[in-house]
Amino acid sequence: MNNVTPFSPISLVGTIALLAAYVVAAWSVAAGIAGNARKSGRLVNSSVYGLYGFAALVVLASVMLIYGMVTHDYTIKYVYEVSDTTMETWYKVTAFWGGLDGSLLLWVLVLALFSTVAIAVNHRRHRDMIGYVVGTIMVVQVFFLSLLIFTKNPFTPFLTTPPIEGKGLNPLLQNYWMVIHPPSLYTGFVAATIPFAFGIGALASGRLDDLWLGSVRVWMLICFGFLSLGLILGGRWAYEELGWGGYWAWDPVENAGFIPWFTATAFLHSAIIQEQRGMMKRWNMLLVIVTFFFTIFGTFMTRAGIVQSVHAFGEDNVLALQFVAFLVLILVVSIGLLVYRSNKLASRVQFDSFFSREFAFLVNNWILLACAFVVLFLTMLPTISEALDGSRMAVGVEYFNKTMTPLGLLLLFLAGAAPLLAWRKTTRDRLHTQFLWPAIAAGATVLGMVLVFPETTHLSPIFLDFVKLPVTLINFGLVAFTVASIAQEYWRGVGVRRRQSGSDAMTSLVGLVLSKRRKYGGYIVHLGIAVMFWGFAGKAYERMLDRTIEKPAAALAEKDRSKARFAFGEYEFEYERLIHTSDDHKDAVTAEVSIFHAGKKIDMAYPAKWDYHKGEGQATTEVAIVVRAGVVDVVRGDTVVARELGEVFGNDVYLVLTGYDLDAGLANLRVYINPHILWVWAGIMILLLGTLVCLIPQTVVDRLSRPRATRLGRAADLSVVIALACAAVLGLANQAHAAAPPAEHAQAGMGMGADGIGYAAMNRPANATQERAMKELLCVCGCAREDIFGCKCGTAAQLRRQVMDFLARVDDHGKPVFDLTTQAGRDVAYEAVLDDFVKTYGGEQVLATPRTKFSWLLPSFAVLGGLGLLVAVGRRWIGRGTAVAATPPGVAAAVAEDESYADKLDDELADTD
Amino acid sequence: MTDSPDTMRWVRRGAAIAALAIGWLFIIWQNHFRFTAPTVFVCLGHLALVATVYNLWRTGAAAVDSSEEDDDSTWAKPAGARGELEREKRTLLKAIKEAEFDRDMGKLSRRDADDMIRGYRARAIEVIKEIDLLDQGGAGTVREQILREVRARMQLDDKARARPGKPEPKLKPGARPDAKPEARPDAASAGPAGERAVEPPLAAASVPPEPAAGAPVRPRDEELDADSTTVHEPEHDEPAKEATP
Repeated sequence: MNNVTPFSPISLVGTIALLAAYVVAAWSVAAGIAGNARKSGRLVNSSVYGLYGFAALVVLASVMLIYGMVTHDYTIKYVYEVSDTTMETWYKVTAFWGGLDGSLLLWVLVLALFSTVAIAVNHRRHRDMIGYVVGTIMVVQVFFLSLLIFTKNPFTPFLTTPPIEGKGLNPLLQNYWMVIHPPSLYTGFVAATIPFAFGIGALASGRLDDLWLGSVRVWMLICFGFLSLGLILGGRWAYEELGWGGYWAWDPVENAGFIPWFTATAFLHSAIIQEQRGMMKRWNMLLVIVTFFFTIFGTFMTRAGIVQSVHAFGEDNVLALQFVAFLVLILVVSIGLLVYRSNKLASRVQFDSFFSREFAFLVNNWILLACAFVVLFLTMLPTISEALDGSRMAVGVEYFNKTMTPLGLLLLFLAGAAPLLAWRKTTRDRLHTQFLWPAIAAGATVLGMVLVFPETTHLSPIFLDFVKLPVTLINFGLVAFTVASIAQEYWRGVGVRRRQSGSDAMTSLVGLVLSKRRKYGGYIVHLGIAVMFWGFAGKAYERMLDRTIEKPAAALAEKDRSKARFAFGEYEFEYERLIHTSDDHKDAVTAEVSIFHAGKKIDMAYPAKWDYHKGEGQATTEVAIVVRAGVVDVVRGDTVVARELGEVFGNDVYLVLTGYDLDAGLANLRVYINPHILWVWAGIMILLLGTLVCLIPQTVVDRLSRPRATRLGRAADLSVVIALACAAVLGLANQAHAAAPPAEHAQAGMGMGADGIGYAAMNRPANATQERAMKELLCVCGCAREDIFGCKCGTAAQLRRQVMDFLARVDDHGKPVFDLTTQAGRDVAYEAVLDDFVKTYGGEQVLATPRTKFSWLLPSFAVLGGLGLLVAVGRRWIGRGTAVAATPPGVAAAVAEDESYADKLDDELADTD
Repeated sequence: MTDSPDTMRWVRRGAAIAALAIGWLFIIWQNHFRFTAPTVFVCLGHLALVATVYNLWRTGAAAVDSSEEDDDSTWAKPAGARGELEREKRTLLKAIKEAEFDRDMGKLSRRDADDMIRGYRARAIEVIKEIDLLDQGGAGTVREQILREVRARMQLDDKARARPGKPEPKLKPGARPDAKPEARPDAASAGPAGERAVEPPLAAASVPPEPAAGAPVRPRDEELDADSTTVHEPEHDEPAKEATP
């Protein structure tokens, strides 16, 4: 009998490190705040060193946990829960954040490292507020550390005999996207803490000049960059791993990262107004606070289990209570300080015209805020409705799309229009000059699309079902408008630069971007957004086909091989064979499929289904993606025989093995053809490049600007910068297009049941009404808001059958109940089937679009009411501004400039780039 | 060897690096010079431990180090008044260049751009003068600084009292908007047009103009200097709008 009391030195050291970190954090809070309040340099310095020591202790604890994973110390419960001996070392390391406890420790670790860098850089610069800044950061750390120590300690050991083998990491998390996605998203979240801390430091110390804004802006830009990266990596993970053909499903966890992204973006724009015009100081401070609040709120949503998601952690009421208390503390302290310092932040809001850049930024701010609150509201709607009347509503992807699409298009328009406007006001003739070419580009694109692709005129609902617009066509037009606007800005900017400096076009371009890197880097970000919207538009033309093939070609006679073939779109697919392999981790069943285009074999695809030995029977799927863009290979057999140009705008051919019968050789394949999706990944690369340009420090520019002895030296400097930027972007691009990873997944709940034969191809819609209803009805299998049209499970197949039967009902005389030959009849049938489902399943949780007015009235009022308010207030501000700015020309110059100082100023201007 | 702070700092750093190196050597030796994943993480753990001890020592030492105490003045303006002015100057120079750039790109009309630039230039000259004053030791005593602050606040008050909607003075027919006008000391006086100028330059402030009839009486510099604690306020607290013609 084994009665050995478990003892883990790793657990002991880790726990001691966390406890010590807690004490040090508490000291830093006290010393930082007291030191600043009493103007005591030694206390402030002590708090700063305390923060460094804290970071070292957290690193120690994290290293101990990872050490436990790689040495298989299953006396620690968390190590047992998320790892096992057969996992690859790399996954043992990343198992660190594979569970709730570890992910909280990762949060503390990333914030500790980030704050160390932020404080080290700004310690001297913000000397008179750094104590408050350290205090604020450490309050956040104390909160998360208290969760770790008292509620979710990752070092908790077994009190009885420990198991000899771990349970293993969730198969969903065993892939390389999960290695980089959580840390980047966390970094984005955590980066929002730094601006918040500086904001609180500025409020507490009363140092509210523009100095704090500079530091905050840089960290908010870092927050924006990492949030963008984290979100898109999450999208890429979903696209490759979940096997539903899409990359964004408005999942609560995705939304939790998206909400602060909106507010951070709003801040980055309104901060420019403060810098240029000295206005909106309170608003900027509020945005900093709100962004941080949303990062904590997002963590609360996903960690405390108040929303349902494919990858949220379980419900935890104790954790929820702690988070609520912390959120209240944040609001009370930060808003209290904001009110207390309100006078110091007062600024005269003065707009000269609606057609000014600052007003465009203001509208942009409003729309971004509206986006944040609409997403927040719709994400929380199930929880809110449950709290109000006990019934849990559901909000499907389509409803999110309907609501967010018009807002997104408005933002896209502003991304193109705002750069064309001047500060203060743009007169009518200037407006004409500025907007002419972008408008022509937009018009030509729309016309071209209508003529060449008439399907782009298809009307799609926005906000409400009866409000319909040719959204895709508008999207294409606005993309062209924005791209032309950015191109024009660069073209004219380079022209001016050339005239000023007399240098060649390339040198002028580089000089322009480096000297005005925030402006032109920002334009690159806008370009990235436009390119992404081009990719989003392709989603409207996504096609999907389910096909069951009873025998592979290899098992058929030559004359029967056509039975293993099917055509879809411009492609043909031949199911060659089914391969079964097995290793220590899993059983893998792989379908080998040949893809043909115009009669030529262009590629082989290997969609697969893996059944992990561990993970409680969880089966995962490995999608096969063939990118048809740029130069593509033409394959014969297993060899590349030629290369040809692929689709102009790029198509992804996306195959999923949704089911199989190993004995019979049957395979159930789902094929998606996803147009333009490549542009989404390309757009994010451009966006990140723009962010990097904005972040180039002045010291680098100064170094590059310093005259070199030789042209070679200058060229070498420039080459290094360009090479670094290209390496960063290409490295990311390579990641984005890397081959499918060795482990893939879809949740069992998403239709990948281990029972072999798939249901995805069963009961497919036979007419448009059936399809429309199936897309509106959510599956009740617990697959996280997938509609029954797309869900691959057996329940969805049954529900589809139910829809088909309902719509095919006949009365006593044998006549069809529903007249599907007229539009009115189809609408009646559609409503009737939805009513039937609501009645059968006891509530609106089966509907993708909630019917309660509450669900659409509030966002609509928020958006439209806010816009109306903005116009009304804008008129008042402009009226005020007009009166003040109506100084007759020449009056401003009524006072002669002091000659000697004017000369001095001119000299300084000559040295300013 | 002396006990100067610099020397002690290097001694501390040397000790930390030595502890780190010895620890790493020991760990690697214990693992027979094989670099496995556990070895790497133990080495990282040792690094974290040394960093912890080093920084906690500094935390304690800083808390009891009286030489770290500063006087109040270093807290009030960390970058120094000059630093603040330099930053403002840089912002203004960039704003001028930005407006010129927008004008050259055709985004701003020449007239609008020139008006904007004129305002920025006036403020920039004011800032350069302030910087020069500081460089020449002109920051002066605390009292002088207070007097300057009072004057600056009064200018701000004047601007705040300016009421929009008053009839604007007419330009002379044929006057070019961007023409550099003659120096008119009275233009910067308390009259409404002068107050609505984008930024009243310091040059105007430094030459106290005669107040317009009925305008609130502003104390002169010498009057301010004459009293160390009080400022001669006008006897009546009428708003500026009622006093202006």
